[in-house]
Amino acid sequence: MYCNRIPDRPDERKRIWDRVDDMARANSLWVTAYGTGCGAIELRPLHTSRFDMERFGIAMRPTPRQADVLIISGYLAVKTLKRVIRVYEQMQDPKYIIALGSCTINGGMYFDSYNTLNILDRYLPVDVYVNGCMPRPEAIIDGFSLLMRKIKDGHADGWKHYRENLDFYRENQKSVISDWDLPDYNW
Amino acid sequence: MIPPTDPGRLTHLFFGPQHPGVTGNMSVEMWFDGDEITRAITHVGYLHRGFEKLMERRLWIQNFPLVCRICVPEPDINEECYALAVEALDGIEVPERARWIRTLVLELARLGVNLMAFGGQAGTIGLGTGAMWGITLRDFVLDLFEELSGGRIYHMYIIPGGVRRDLPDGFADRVLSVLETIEERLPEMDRLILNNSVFKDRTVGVGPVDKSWIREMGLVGPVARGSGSRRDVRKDHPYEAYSLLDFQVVSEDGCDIYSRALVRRREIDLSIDLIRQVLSSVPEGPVSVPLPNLTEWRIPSGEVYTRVESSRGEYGYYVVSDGGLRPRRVHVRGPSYVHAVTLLERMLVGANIADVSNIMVSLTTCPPEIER
Amino acid sequence: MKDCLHGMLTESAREWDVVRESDGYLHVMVPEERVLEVILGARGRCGMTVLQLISAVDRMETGAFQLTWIMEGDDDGSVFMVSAFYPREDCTVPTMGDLWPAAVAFERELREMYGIRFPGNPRQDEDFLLEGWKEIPPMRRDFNTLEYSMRTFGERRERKHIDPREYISEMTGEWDTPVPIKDGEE
Repeated sequence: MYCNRIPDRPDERKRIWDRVDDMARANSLWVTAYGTGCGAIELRPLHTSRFDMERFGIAMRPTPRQADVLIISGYLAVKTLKRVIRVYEQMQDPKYIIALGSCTINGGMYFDSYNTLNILDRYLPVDVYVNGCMPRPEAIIDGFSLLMRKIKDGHADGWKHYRENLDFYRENQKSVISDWDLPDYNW
Repeated sequence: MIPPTDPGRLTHLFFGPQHPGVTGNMSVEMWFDGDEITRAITHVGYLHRGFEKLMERRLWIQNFPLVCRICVPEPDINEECYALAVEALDGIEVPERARWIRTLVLELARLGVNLMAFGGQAGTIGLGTGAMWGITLRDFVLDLFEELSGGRIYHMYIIPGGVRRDLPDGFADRVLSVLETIEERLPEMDRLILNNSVFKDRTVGVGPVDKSWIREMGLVGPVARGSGSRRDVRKDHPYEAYSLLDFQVVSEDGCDIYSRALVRRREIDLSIDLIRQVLSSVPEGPVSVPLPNLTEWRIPSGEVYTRVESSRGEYGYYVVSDGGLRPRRVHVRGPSYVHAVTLLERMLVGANIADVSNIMVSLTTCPPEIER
Repeated sequence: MKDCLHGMLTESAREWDVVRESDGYLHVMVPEERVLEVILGARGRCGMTVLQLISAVDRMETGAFQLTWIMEGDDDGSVFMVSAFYPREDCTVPTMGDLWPAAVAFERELREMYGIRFPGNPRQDEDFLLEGWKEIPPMRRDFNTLEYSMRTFGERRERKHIDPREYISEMTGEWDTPVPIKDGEE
């Protein structure tokens, strides 16, 4: 029932219909509701009428099957990385990742901890980084508008990179997670 | 006594980390018989950063930016506890004005968290308006913190020896006007949440905390005060300026989710009253004591256990020093340690599947302080 | 409260050192054979019915673990702490799981972080915070966390250090000191 090999590459030509698709996608980004770390507390004021993210078309969805964006809000412990990989691979293409905070860029203040990752880019493809500890709600909206510009220009292809270089990502993930029981292909 | 599990008859489900109804990032593994839970196990560890090991590698003063990130909604209690422990070990006397400013900061933080928790309790049964109002009112308090210390969430304002800098000009007037704004909107929140027959149906009689469990498991905070206990560190062992303030301990007798929500609502009133008392009687003077050269600061050896009352209960720090530049051992004891691991596993037995999120939010468990 | 504790200690422990004492606070150090008696006496006779924390300190220089039990009185909230030294190799400590259900979780964490075993604890071998951990228990003093982090998660990206004076002199072509430099600061 599930496919047991890496799916084929999509057609690379940029047709006019793809540009309309990209504009539609950029104007209605739905986010998986998963608070992986510290930064999740600054995602709640985005619902309120002061910062109001729904005017950009952004909404929070409870299941990954209905979402386009996964927000990694801060550092990632090794136990959470396993669940995040599972959630990321359940989302349907095209999908994007926004990484908040300084801990995802180069380790941040937990650089010498035995349980947190240092560089997130080795394990999951990141499209936009937002600086700060932790970023204000206006900074998160700034990150979203950068992501929307990237999608409209056709440059946001972290998911294509993940599909083509799955071996590289899997090797890095397995080097960190010692009790690996996820499937070896990309869902 | 753990009831036996029957693999053929019972449903096995993970109420996992990716779920909008979980407070933070923890998961509960449950076995059901139809609609009723027969066994529950809590899994924590998704946010473990190894704080205690990191704190042993940094100087005494380098630890206080690290310490406030242990509890995300209310970081000031961590700074306060660590500062109290360092001052107790080193024998530092904090000036009078700094004590009153610390009390003001702690009560403002408690006000923000209680507003969010009171609204969040309505959010779990589907009343989204209550949740939005709670978060909006908390934003006013965060703006005050941004003016005072430069950051909305992590302040790093309370340091060993006092506070980092004095209050800005006109800060007291702005605090009083924010309190008036909040007080105008609270009666409407009451009418929406507490006077609501659907809310009462879903919360009265649900999630009982037996009075005998308080002593057996060591429950603290609104979880214990909603069942009749009258313990509060601010009254029993006052720290900072609490011995000079005039207030009564808030406690209810219902033992269910409704009375815990009522305790939090009455603590909002108590915090507003305490802030007004503090602002009317804060004395003049210096705000901090000069510390020695921070790269050569050695604290005499000893051990101490300090306690602070947070919005969730009694928060404790066990600090051990061996006379060196770095702490020997820092052990953080958050109130959610007992609430989320021992109490939740016992409370969920016999509960309905639709009430799991309700019960978890009424205990206001905060996973980062369980696993540091 | 203090008189009751002093009386109980004189009976059960015979010799004991006071580590720290103040108003409503008492911390004593007892020999390891007397720990269970002292704790049962405090719980039964002196009203210290709430267990707040079980903590451990790794005293590697003397080859011992120092365990501390922190208890509180139910009626007035005063604190009573009991410490004892246990040998570091194959450390086994009596469990408090029958007296207090919360102690089961504390002892699980100590087994995972230090390697101290509590025979009689029903959930001793379940993982609490770490998943699939293969090294020595991480809170011991001989575990080097920076070296483990660099080995497992890889080297971090290079960071550049920029001196503000050089940067400004590149941008504007000159460096004018608007603020006088104090002695010894360079």
